[in-house]
Amino acid sequence: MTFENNFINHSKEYIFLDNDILSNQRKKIFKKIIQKNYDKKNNESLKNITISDLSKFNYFYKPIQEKSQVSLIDDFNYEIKVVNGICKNYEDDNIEIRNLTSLDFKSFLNQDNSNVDDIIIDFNKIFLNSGFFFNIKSNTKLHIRLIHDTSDNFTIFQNNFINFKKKSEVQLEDHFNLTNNSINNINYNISIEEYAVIKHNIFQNFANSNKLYLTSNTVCEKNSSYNQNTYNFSDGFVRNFHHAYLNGEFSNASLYGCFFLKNKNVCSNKTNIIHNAENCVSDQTYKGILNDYSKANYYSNTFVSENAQKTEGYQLSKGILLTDNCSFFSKPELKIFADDVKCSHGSTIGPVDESALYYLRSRGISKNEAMKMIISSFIEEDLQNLDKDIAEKISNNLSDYLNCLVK
Amino acid sequence: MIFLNINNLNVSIEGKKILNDFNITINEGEVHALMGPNGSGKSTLANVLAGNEDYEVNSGKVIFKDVDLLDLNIEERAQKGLFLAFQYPVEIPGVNITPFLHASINSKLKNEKKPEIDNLSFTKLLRKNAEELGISSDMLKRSINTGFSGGEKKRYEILQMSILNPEFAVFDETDSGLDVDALRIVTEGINKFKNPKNSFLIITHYQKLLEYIHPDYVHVMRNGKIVKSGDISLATEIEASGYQNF
Amino acid sequence: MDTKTSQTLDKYAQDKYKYGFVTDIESNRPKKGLDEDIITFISQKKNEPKWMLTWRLDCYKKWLKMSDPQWANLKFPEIDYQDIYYYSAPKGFEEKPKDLSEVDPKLIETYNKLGIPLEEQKVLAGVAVDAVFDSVSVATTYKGELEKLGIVFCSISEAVQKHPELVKKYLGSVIPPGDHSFSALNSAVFTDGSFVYVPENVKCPMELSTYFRINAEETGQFERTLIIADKGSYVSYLEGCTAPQRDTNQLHAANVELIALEDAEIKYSTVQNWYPGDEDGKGGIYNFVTKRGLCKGKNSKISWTQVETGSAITWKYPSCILKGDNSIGEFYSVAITNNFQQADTGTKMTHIGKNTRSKIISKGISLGHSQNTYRGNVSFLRKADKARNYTQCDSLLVGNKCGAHTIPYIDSKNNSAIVEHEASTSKINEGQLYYCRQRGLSHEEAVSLIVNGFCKQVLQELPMEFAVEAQKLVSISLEGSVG
Repeated sequence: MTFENNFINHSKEYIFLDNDILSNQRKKIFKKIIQKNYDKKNNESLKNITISDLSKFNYFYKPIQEKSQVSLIDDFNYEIKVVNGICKNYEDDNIEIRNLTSLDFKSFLNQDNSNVDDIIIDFNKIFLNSGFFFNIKSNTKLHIRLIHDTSDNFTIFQNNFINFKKKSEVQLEDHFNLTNNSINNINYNISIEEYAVIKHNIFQNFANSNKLYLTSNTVCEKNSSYNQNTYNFSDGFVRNFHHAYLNGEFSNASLYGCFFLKNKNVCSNKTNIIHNAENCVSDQTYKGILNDYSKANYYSNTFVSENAQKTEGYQLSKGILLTDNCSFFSKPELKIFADDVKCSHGSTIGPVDESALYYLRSRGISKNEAMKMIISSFIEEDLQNLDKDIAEKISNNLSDYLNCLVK
Repeated sequence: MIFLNINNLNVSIEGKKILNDFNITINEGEVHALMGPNGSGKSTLANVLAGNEDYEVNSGKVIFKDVDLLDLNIEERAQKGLFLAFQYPVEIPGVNITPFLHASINSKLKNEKKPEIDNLSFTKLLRKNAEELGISSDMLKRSINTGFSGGEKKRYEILQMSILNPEFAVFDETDSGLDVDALRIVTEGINKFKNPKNSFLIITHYQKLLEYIHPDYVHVMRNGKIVKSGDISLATEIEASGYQNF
Repeated sequence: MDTKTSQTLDKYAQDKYKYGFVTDIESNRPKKGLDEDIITFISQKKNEPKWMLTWRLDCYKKWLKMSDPQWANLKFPEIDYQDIYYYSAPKGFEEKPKDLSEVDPKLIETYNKLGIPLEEQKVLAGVAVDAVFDSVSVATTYKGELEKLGIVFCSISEAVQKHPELVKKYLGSVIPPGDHSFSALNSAVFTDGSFVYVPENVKCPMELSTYFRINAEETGQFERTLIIADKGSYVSYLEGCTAPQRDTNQLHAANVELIALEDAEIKYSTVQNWYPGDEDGKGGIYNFVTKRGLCKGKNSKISWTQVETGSAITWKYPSCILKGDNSIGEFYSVAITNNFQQADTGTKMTHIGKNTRSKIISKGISLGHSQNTYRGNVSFLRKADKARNYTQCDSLLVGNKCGAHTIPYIDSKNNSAIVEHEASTSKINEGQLYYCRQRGLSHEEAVSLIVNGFCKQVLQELPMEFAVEAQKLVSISLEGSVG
């Protein structure tokens, strides 16, 4: 289906159809894309993205509310099932959950931090068909398991808002249960208030026919902490673009990710941390293993504004290429406008360490086993800080991946 | 002439008081040891003497050779003959000791209105002193302190002292992190340099160092002031029963 | 950064631009602006054969269809290409002077003032100089000695006449004129520059050097340099640049192509000190330079060293195409920006052949209101088995009105290739300052010593004869004490 037809088909699902400002904005972005008024070559948001996936997809969406649910495993342990972008409206002392409606245009305009230069976000804006609000109340200590269920052939364009109120302490887990041929363009606007401590783990492991474009924009206020870990074991295409704004002093953010690619899989990654206040610390680390004909990119960026003195910002990217047919591109940027800073980045791309391989084999370990050991050691150190069940889940995913290596 | 007299010195860092009416007098040719538990303010004293700008002097006087040191900035104090052997000598990548120390000694000579030393004589002097301290010419080619072991850094401090020939040298926990051999080399260096014209303030946590350097006076410091002064027997007492008696 | 350190460094950087004088000499200029007539005029002035003019006109046609590259981190008003003089020669240069006696003494005096004596008895020992004034080469020293070894060192205009087969074969072979608008522009209107050919197995015994001087107002300088090192040869080449202090911006768009054949090595050093503009950012040179080296043969090596202190805008990425197996590319750079200067500089290492190696060391220092960007591109193509790159870029910031940016692109398509990249950005270490001052060094001395140390890895790559000049330029030499 053409882009124009999709645009027309979607119109009835557009949440803000009765709002002039947003409707006009939608039309404007649509025009911009139709007229190709953007720099395709140097646009990071389109790196490793097949343009025809955007221009010729089959828009399909039907809101189904029955299956979505919120279940309490115990008082502080929630499982939230979002089905085709719709969740169940719910509220208790800890949390408030509700679906985005046309009445929410004000918060949509105010709280939406998404990047204007991102074509994927442009698509999210014009095809918007769902979204939710989570409000996690002050002083709560919660564990939230969020399951995204998308049915066959659905195209989800979702814009979500999560507010972590003062001093909340939350571990949020994102799981994606995608069936077949789905497109999931999901944008998060996360706001973290003073003294809140948030750990956000994102698991991506789904079949080849699905596509996930996940974007997050997180704003950290004074003394807050945001720690995001993304694990991508998917056979389908994934784009992980994550931005964090350190707006309050003494806040910190870390964006960590790892990806394991095989066959002809592709993934595109970007992290971006903007230091707007003094005494903040940030960390961006992505690691990837690429096998067969896979392809990946990683953009990272530390931006330190003029008044963000005493900033510490670190970046690290590591890529291991297992075959001659895969490729990895990285661009670790530092843009610094304050002088009292400590910023650094390191980046390596190469094969599995031959000397380590040799050492292990000289101890009688088979080449395949040795290979597995080295690759798992690659992320081993990062798993140590995780909860046991999460670490286990990742280990299982990893050993599945490693078993594929043995042919 | 008053050689060194510290009178009611009060110092704080980020609002926290560290030196509290601190007093000491050191005469020409004397070796003083300053001992005390962690956090008693020993290193603060060393840094305040050197003029470290992180510390705030609230009140007091530090008279050194008839001048109040507190009126001088870091380099002026150094040029006047004060030398601080750092606890953690900083690495300066890309900067070689020869031009560094040459500039350093000439700044002192210039201040004393003496003729500056030329490149050749200086290089000779540096090589001679280095050799005496067992510092290889290879080490002289490296960047200052960069990639040095703890012992090498301390030896480098002694080398610098031997060239700059200060009247008053402060050793800030020079023994920390040194093994016995390194300690011996460092103390030999100090002993060789000692003469009736120069004085030392040796700051240390342990008594071990004082077995090699024989101080004329030993002071015990607690909560920002000297609580007891005596001779070497004081150090022996600390070795036997710690600081809790003070 | 405490204010004292900023003041100290500011003081260094505000030292009056020593080379800002104007030589009062009459010059011959055609009308302003760019069209086919001007290109024909330049070609005629240079007495060029027809093929050269055809080539220029082709490039001009390409340029007409192109727009200037936009991706650099630079802000400047659009360049009005019709408001520039494309040719300027001191009067009396209708023919290139045969020897210095035919050269206007004012010109010789100019070069004396710049520290580049051209007279036979005063020439710099061990350095052969080609002096380029606006659009023409004034004189080339040591020509005879070099000729004995078969080394050709002359102006590019002369090479077009005397060595057309080499020029035809290599000109535009490393930088295709259609690469981007500045390369197309340069190819159309280049006026002078140097040409070097080192024959097989000859190691050039002295430094070859070109000194570029822009004098005339509102004049663009479009230099073109071509260096060919034949099999097993070696050459070290250095360029220096200055320009008078003027209120208006001037354009300098050079193209430099290097070709190293099997086992050959080219070392190319630049000390760039074009007029940077005043404290308010008025005036200064726009320096849009394309430099690219091709390691064509096996085991060849190209090494770029640059000290960039001048220009209002620097846009420059000396690059290496590592085509021959086992070839080596190196890039050493110090870039200092102050006041309102902007620099976007770095390198591109393209690994094509097996076992190719590259090394990038970049040191950026930003002060005042300046913006200093390192931009680098390291790519390993499919066939670049066991290729290696090591990159280190460090930035030093002084004051919070300036910016330091690091933008590396790293692309690997070969699984036996290894790339390692490290970068850091920080201010001058207060602990180091304290240590130096405790040893009696003044604040100023301490700062310059530390900055000197920060740049050392790069400065030590410069040929001996120029290392000192460069240190002075970096404003960090401690009189008589830098050993």
